[in-house]
Amino acid sequence: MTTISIPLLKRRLPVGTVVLVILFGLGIMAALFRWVDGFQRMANISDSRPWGIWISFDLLVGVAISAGAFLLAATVHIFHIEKYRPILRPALLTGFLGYVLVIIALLVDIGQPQRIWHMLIYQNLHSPLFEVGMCVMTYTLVLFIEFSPSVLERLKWHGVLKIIEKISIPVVILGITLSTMHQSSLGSLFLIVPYKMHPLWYTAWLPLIFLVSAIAVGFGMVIFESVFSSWIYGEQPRLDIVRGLSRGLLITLIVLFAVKTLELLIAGEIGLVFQGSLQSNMFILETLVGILLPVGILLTRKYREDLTWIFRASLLSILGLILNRLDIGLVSMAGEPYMPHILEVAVTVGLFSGGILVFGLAKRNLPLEVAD
Amino acid sequence: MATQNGKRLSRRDFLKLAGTGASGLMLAGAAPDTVHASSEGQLPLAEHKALLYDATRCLGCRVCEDACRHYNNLPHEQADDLSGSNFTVVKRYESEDGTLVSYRKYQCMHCVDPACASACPVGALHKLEDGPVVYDGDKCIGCRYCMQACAFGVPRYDWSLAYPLIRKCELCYQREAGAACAEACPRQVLLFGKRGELLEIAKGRIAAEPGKYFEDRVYGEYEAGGTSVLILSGVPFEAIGLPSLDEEPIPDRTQWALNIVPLIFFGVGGGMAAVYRRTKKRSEGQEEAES
Repeated sequence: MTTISIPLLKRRLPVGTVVLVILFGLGIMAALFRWVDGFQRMANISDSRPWGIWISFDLLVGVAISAGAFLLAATVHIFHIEKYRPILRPALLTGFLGYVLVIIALLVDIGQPQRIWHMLIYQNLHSPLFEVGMCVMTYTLVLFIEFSPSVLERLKWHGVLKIIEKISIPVVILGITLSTMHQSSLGSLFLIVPYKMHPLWYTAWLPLIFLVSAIAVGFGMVIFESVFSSWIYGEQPRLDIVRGLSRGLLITLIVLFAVKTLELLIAGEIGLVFQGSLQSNMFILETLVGILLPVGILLTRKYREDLTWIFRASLLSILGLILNRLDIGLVSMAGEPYMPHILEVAVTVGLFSGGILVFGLAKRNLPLEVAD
Repeated sequence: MATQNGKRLSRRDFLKLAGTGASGLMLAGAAPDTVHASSEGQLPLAEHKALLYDATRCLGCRVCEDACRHYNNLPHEQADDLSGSNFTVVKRYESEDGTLVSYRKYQCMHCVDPACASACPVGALHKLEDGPVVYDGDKCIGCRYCMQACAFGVPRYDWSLAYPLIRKCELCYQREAGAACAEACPRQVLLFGKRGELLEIAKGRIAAEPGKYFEDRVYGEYEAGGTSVLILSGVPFEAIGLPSLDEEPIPDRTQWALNIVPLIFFGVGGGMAAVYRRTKKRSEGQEEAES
């Protein structure tokens, strides 16, 4: 690995780490700028575009790609499929970090971050955003508990560890329930905009589509992570695990495609796909990249057993999910044209860089590999 | 509310019934029979405070804007759109050669079933029992979901602040004499009163001069379940920026999804518990067989 020496620390660090640290620092600075100076000079969100990339990317993509945590917790703890236990802890960690990043991004995005706790006392049960907020807060706590054994083992706090083990199954079930609820409710958020959202995306089925696509990308993310980290850390990738996950990805993507196509057929909107507008082209692109290509790869006998091709399929599913959520949050919505300000992007990139750095630190210092 | 008017059982009432049924499963703390935040303890719709704006009579003097700014302590400068410091604006619509098509006064429509109020996670927006949709800045977390939810693009953000709040027209709900804008209108283009009475006046005008008003109907009588701001126009509604909305209250689009949340909670939770017990036995059986 290429390294560069850092005089201040008197040691050498990999280039990648240095880049991530710089991006993270820039992101924190951009966030501080927002908290001190406001949005006007650092963000292109406006009255006509109240939600920008912090919602479309940080919240919608961030929560979806963290779905691997509840999928694997369910697989190992509830369905007792022991084969996947070795990758459970990394998936839980990714999930926990993902949700922490989502919360930080929301604290940048909302106008009154110091009042985020208002959701606990002024509950509007008619608001899907209230449901999302409560679920995200509670589930972050659940992930903290689910991941805590890794830290507790390292600290040798066996007393606390015993308590955590005792409550672990109810906590895991609560986590799966909360995930089903808020992964779908993120779609419900957009049910309130029937007159602003393009009909290719607007449907009463949005909650279902959000849930299924989150499960798909949950598999995609866990595959990506397992293969990628095995390459980075020079470990042997576990082919049987990756193959099993790729079957999960394939099945979920086929279900997703069926649901979306069926919805368009029932609504009589299938013709809109070939309209040739920006929206219809983006719809084709996200379907091609996120669903059809990975399904094609995973159905081809030659590629579906090949680690590199499975990796590519997982990468495509992640890209497709990102496109889909950006389409829903930005492309499909009526309003003045919006391009994120460079400092909006800096916050998003910085937070994800920070997440990757913390993951790397944890990977080196915590027993992520130990089966519990 | 539709049944109060002696109408058939609407989709909305059906959802309300369905919601009450599902409420047996609601989480602790959930209010069971409140499918619509706005339908609690409301006065009859005809009694609601309302405005009638007749665009065919408006000369665009914009005195109403001044009165609004004065009453709401907003900066005294004419603006060309609603904003964090401007709650109403009269826009001039021209044809391509510059001749006047119509004026249109923009402001909060005070929906019968406001999407903003249903969207707000902390209930900072709510509909008063006598009609106005009001805002409590002390609760607001600044998430801008109300701005996203409003089909009329009414709620605005005070972007000049580092910690912005939402700003919008509240129909001068604390003002004894009613809406300041209507009181200031020199030609009574804009009338303040009870919704039922204003609807009658509007329909009277339509009946007196058939064909004068677009589609011989009042905008806001049924749109998105009805609004407290009623508009008469001589030109197509869309030509003066009024969106074409069906009669379904916008919050109904979301409510069914929230009504099934308890089902998901207990369904998924119970299902997972059942799977856990089954597969646990099986994996224990396997272990015994192996050992």
